[in-house]
Amino acid sequence: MTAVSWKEALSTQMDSDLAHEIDIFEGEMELVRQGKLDKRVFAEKRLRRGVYGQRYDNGQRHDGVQSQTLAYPEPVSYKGPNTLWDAPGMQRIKVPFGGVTPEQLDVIAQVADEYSTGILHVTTRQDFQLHYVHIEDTPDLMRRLAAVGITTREACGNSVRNVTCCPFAGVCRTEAFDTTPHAKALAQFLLGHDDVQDFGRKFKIAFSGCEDEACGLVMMNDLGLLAQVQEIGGQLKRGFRVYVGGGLGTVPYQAKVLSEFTPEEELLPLAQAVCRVFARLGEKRNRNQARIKFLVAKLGIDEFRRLVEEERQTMPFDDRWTAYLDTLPQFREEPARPAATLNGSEQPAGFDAWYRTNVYPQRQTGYAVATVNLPLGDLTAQQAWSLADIARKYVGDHIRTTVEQNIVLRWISEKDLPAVYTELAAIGLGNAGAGTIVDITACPGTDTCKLGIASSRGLARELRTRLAARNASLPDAIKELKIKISGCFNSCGHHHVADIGFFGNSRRSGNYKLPHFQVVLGGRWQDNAGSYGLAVGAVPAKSVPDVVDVITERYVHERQPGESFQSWIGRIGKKRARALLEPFMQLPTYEERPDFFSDWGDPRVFSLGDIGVGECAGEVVSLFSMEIATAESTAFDAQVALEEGDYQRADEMAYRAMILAARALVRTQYQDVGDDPDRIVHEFRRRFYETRLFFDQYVKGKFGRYLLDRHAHPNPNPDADSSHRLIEEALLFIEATHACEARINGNISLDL
Amino acid sequence: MIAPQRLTVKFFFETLDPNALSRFIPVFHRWIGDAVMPGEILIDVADYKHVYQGPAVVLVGFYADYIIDLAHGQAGLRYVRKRQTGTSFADALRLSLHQAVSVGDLLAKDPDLQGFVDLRTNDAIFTIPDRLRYPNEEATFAAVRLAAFPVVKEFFGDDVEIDYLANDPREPLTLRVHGPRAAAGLLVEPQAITR
Repeated sequence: MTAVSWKEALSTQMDSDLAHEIDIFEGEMELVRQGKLDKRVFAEKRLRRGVYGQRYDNGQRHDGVQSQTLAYPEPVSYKGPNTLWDAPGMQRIKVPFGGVTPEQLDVIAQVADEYSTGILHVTTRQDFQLHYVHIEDTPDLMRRLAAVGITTREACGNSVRNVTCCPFAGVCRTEAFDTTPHAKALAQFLLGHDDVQDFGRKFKIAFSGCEDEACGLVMMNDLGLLAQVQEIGGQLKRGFRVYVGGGLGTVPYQAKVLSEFTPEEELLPLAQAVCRVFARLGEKRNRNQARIKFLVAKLGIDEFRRLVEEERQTMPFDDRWTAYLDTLPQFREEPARPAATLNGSEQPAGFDAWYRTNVYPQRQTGYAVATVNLPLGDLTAQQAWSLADIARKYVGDHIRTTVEQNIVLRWISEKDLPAVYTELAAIGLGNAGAGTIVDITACPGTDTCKLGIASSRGLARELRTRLAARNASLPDAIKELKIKISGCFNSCGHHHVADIGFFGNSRRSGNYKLPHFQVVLGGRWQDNAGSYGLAVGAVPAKSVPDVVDVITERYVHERQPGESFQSWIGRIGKKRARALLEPFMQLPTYEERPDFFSDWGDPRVFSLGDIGVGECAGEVVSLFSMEIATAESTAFDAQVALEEGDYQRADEMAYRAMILAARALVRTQYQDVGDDPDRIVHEFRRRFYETRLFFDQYVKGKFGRYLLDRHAHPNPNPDADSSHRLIEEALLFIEATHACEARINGNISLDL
Repeated sequence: MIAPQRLTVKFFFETLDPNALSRFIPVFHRWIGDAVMPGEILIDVADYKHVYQGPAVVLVGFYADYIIDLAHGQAGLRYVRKRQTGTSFADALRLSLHQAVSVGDLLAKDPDLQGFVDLRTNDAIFTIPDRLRYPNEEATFAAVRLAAFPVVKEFFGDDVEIDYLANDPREPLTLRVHGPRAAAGLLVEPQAITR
């Protein structure tokens, strides 16, 4: 039993870049604890590592009568504005296109077991989330994930969030082509890219292979890529119809077509150009107007397109734009077992119902996809390990998460389906009803979200229990409906694109508030989230199950042959739809129905007292502040190396810190300076040293010379004295960089 | 032997109606409001009843979590020490056992759970979710067993037995401890519950 650190134990298993990023984050944690890093900057730093706040992290909790203080051991130590250091939070784990291997699932389950409650939660962006995680545990958690090739980088914050993709991509019967390698390439290309570090808000990208299916829901993403094949010059050419400016949120926007057809070799540069325009022109101060949808609406799609095309022409060439295309012919998923049909296989009890709703025959004959229907997107660590074993046995690496908070196993030989079902059922994951009315999507809501108003998960749990109990007797027209629930108007539960959607709000009755849900009817999941639903009125949370019954029964009673729910809602109109709700809209008094004054699954008298400041948008922190903080963290690493007697590393880190600081300053003028130290120093000298912008009124250019000298004359044999001296110089250089930026105050025109 | 980062103790209910799990939720909320656990900061109640054989209801604390747990189909109360585990393994074990027994007693005496909670405290499962320092191997078990004996004897009596549960290697090191005496017998008087 040797007590080594995870950092040491996994040093050879982690990609060096991932390992270094985590070390920097750990350094930033130490700096903010010492008061040497602004908590606002650190908040955005940790968000960009997927370390998110959680309800009650301001140290206050309403018990139904009054707000009580949670007496954490360090009541004045913060990890962000109003966010106490000690308060447990959420860790988001980014899984590009939802693709996860059994080995990765094993490790996610292990970190859930060691640092969380043992529950893995699948989100509506194909991420995993762990809740109640202490921030001190996050560096090791990240290292263990990094050792299996997972990064949490840019999982939250004002960054490119998880790139989503249809979970059936590559095996779908109707897709134009498999968009998986493109999604993977774009996710890798934009991860940590210089051009995506200065957004005013988050940026979401989705890939679809089919126009008519729900697929990747491109219409509700900031950037949507819909696979297309066109004949050009007598040859079939792959590419994408590119959508931009879609989004749900408080006011949902349908995406606009930016390009009818962008060939695949132009995909990455076009996405980069969009990001650059968004970074340059997107709103930074008012976060309520900072998503790209507002920029597109403000400029108009034609002007936005012109700006993107103009940007595309000025961007420095990057060979990564097309490098991945060479790998496309080799990209293929190998099944673990040979194809075989289901005919004649013995079928266990419950299999037929599961097969009807959870199995999708692939376009590859003899194979199928099975959806593992996770209640509320949750599974235990034990279930995850067992699921990983089932995957190893039947499908190999072909596991994906879905935006409906489920997991799919791809490439199951059809003959194996009964065995897969039996093994899933044995671990409680054999629930039928995937994609039906019982398979309810819900955001975290008041369970853990600081913005939650009502209990989306509590309501989802109640509805799922009730509907599942009578699922067998429900008419097919009802079974096929989708219910999606958000705890507030921010739409994380995708309520706008459900047949029956709900989002949390509240109403007052006497001196009390009642948890309510706004009812949103007729959203369209198909056609890539083709249209958004109609808000028809708010009802008490405790009335929602009855409301669902009334709406669905009326639909079944009134629908014309073949009429969809959306068409029915469109036909009856908002007035009649609202009339269905009116019997439920009368508010009881507390004395009449005290149960109506608490939320589903939460016995406390309902209050809005626990709502905090959300971190969905992240802190709006300048690019310079973010990048100089990385320089400071690197200088901190240099000090640690000096203490450990590693003078070579101390010297390198101190120099690196100066380069990073210079780069941060140069990028306020010249965004595309890149990473080459020679070029950074050249631009620093030209723009700030020779112009004397960097000069202090007392010491003039002395601190700037520290960088220039060290760059020109590296020390081949640093010792304790020289590395110590260089660290001191690096710290002074960083301070001078801060001062220079403050003098200029960011009012520099960008030279792009 | 240094203290693990986490240590869990699970006592089993003699019987527990899975349909009645909801009864724990208002009790745990009340415990937070009344700060019934001296030295603990109770934060939240997490409801995972919908998950198969999971941590059905979790009273989340700063130092520890208190779970009505259905793992492996065996309903029980699981205490998860996750912060300030002490300076040695023995410290961590003693603390966790004491707290687990105390919470079991609080549950049994809670006015809203009267006659509902029947915890068997002469038999417990320990896990050590610290795969770095306590890998799930027999060699680790042998060392842990030696360090654990003096402590578990204090709670379960001299004839206590400690068995290694050779479970899935991805799971944490897991031990079963059972003795002739109910651990609850050693309890100090818990703080009175106020309504």
